[in-house]
Amino acid sequence: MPPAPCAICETNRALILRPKNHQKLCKTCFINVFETEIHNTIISNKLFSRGEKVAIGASGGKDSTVLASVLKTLNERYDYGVKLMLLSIDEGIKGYRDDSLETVKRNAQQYDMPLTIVGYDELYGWTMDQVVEQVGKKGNCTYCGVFRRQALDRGAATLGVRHVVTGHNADDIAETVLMNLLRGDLPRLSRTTSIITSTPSASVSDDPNSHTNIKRSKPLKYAYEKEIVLYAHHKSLDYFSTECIYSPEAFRGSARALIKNLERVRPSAILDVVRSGEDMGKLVPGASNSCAGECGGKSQVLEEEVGGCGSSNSSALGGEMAALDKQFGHNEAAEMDVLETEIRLKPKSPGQENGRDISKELRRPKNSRSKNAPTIEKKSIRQVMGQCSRCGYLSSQAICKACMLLEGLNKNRPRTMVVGE
Amino acid sequence: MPGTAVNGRSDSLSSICRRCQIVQATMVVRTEPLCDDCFIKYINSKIIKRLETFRPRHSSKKSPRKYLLPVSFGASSLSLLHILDARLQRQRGRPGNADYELEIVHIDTTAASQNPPEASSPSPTTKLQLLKQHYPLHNYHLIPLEAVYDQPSDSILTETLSSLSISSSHNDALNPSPVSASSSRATPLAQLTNLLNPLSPTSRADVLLQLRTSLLYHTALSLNASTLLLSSTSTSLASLTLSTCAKGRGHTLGHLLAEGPTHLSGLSQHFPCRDLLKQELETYATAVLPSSLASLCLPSSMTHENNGKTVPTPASAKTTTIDELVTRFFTDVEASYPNIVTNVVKTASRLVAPQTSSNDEGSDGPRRCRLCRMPVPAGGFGILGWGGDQAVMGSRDDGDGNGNGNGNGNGNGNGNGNGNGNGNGNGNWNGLEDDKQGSSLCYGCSRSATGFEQLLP
Repeated sequence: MPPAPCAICETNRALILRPKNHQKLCKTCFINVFETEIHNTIISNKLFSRGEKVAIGASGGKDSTVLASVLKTLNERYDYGVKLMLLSIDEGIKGYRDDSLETVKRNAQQYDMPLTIVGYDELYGWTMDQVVEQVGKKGNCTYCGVFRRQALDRGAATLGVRHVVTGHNADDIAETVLMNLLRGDLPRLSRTTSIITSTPSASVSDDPNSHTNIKRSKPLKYAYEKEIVLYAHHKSLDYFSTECIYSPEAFRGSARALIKNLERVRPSAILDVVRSGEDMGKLVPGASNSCAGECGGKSQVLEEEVGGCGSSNSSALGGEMAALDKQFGHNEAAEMDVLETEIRLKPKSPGQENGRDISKELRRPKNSRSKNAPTIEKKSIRQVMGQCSRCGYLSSQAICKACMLLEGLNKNRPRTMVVGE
Repeated sequence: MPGTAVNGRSDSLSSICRRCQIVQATMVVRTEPLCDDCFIKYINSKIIKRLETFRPRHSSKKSPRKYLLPVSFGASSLSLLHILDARLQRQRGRPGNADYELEIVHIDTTAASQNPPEASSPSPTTKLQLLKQHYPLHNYHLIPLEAVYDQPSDSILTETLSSLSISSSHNDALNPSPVSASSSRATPLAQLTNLLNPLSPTSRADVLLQLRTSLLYHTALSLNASTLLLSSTSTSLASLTLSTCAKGRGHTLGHLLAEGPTHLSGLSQHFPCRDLLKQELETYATAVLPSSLASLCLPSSMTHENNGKTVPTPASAKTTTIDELVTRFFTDVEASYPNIVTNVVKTASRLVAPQTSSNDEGSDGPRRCRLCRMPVPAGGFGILGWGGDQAVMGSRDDGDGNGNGNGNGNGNGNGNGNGNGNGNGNGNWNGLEDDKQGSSLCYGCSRSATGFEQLLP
């Protein structure tokens, strides 16, 4: 059989079986198609505006490296007129982040973009290595995720940038959709699929350095992970491919395995899950009315909505799933036996819409992740944005999540640190 | 059954039954050690409790309500029949108390199945007769899947039904099909196999499931049944949720899992077994069903609730379907984390069925997908036009990976009724580009059946 010609140019020999649709393409056409698709996504979602300063959340991994390379190419080719820069977070993980940051530094030179590195230690006084030393490997991803969200916003604010793009790809989004279904987190399901998210502004601030209201977008939202790897390979991009040394979230691991299996059976499945996620987001009670018009399809987020450090390594799987299983079991038992009588606030007066439901708080005081687990009470609660009384970051509570976590950490820290050397 | 541990560790079996506190427990049900009798009571009460929620307050003596109960001969549908039958007998013992009649339906997919049925297994007719012997109070119907092609002309169809039938309405105007006249001359079975044969395993199973579901809804209407009783367990509903999501049909979940009114006016649906796990009902079925019936649904672990097909042991990606993959996933999850299974269903059940706004509606109700017959919101037709396609000329292809795109023109046996180039992208995926408006299929159905619209009922 003669070698198949490329399905697009029909002249070159096809070398690439496109993961997304099994089209046979030559290298040039693949790169071209990949870039054009990202361009289409950017244009149809109006992600950028001329003159805008855009920070690329760069970890040195394949996704953000490809994102930086593609955006640079497209910005020149289509003259978006945006000023691109790299923003990296140093979580302080030895043997992982220090190495990947070296990659980012090289990228900065290769792409001729200014690079800013914001460290957890300078922002919070804790590196992730220190956090893990204190809380153990279990659950440290919570700290990392909460800290990272704020760190990116703060980093952007110091640069005077109002827009951060991240390298989340279609696989990440699909995984998150399944993960949120598995753990019963409907509100987050509706948020994760939005291509643009923004931290809502509590009080409209005129301060250009305010770290509120920073726009986040995911230009690679519809790009397959496999294609990103192919692109990086064929463009010989310089990226760092070691996964985080700390344990991944269990649910993400299990959802990721399922997504990979689905993709094997039907390559479009990843995109189909993303599509379902978008459609289901519209069916979440309260989701559609709450932002009808006001935010134009953009979603508002407070916490890290799509974790970026998932790993296929699912060794920690059992523990977290078992814990959640047990907790769902408790909730159900409580419902069935009506052991916990509903302490329901009497008929809802209109003003109570935004108040918190006491019965809900009582039922699950500790684990905030479970706040959306089913209860007898089905009303969806709209978060009211305020500012953290300590750091001024956006929060629906008096003290933001990061400050809460920090407080816990600091309590157990010896007053005087013994500094080595 | 003694000694069976139902999703629990057998180490707690040494204790006595937690409910009656008398007998030695024989199994652990969701951390509770139970004896056989208490387990049966537990299942009964879970189902009866669900049935009570939609029982009319004042049953009218004139016309008891008709329930349609589809049976797949699996453990859960037979268990539900068993319970409903016993309940009806009790009610009939008290005059004026019977508030329902049962219409039992089996949709026979054997003719459409690629794998011939095992020689040893009895035919659906035999099975249904056996059911009738054991539960003689009810009416039994055996409907072959190919009956989907008879629907519009079927004499038993009522007026309600014909007004809901897609093929008679605006969709034809949107989608003029010169070939449909010629293909309608073929027998229904030939039409069905023409449609299914060229599809990849996943698409095939998916189209089959959609046809079966819509046939059930329409059978209910044509039999004047007001309520569809679906025997799906928590486990099968969780699988349905995830596979529906994985097949790009997330927009239908609000309708699919709704307890109460369906997307068809005049028809409600209920899931009386939705609080139970698959394995619990399997244990129950082996315990309570007459042995001749119990043998029907055994080996019970092989029974697939959604379409009555067996789930084979892991096979290659080429032959596995998404439905099987997800079913297997949840069977595993159920074994270790039953509450996660129940929670998926609870979570998905909180999705609201979309309200179609007036501009989505055609002259006779919301616009519906031609295959799954679900209402489709504006912009929900076709694969393109939602952003995820990142549309570029020439870059778009079907995602099915098993070459069903190529199977179209040169495919096996579908050439007869499937003229190319009739404006719906047949034989050429790039034809999809300009055709978003013209698609009569929702996104998920487009993934499975684009290019085969002309062969659909």
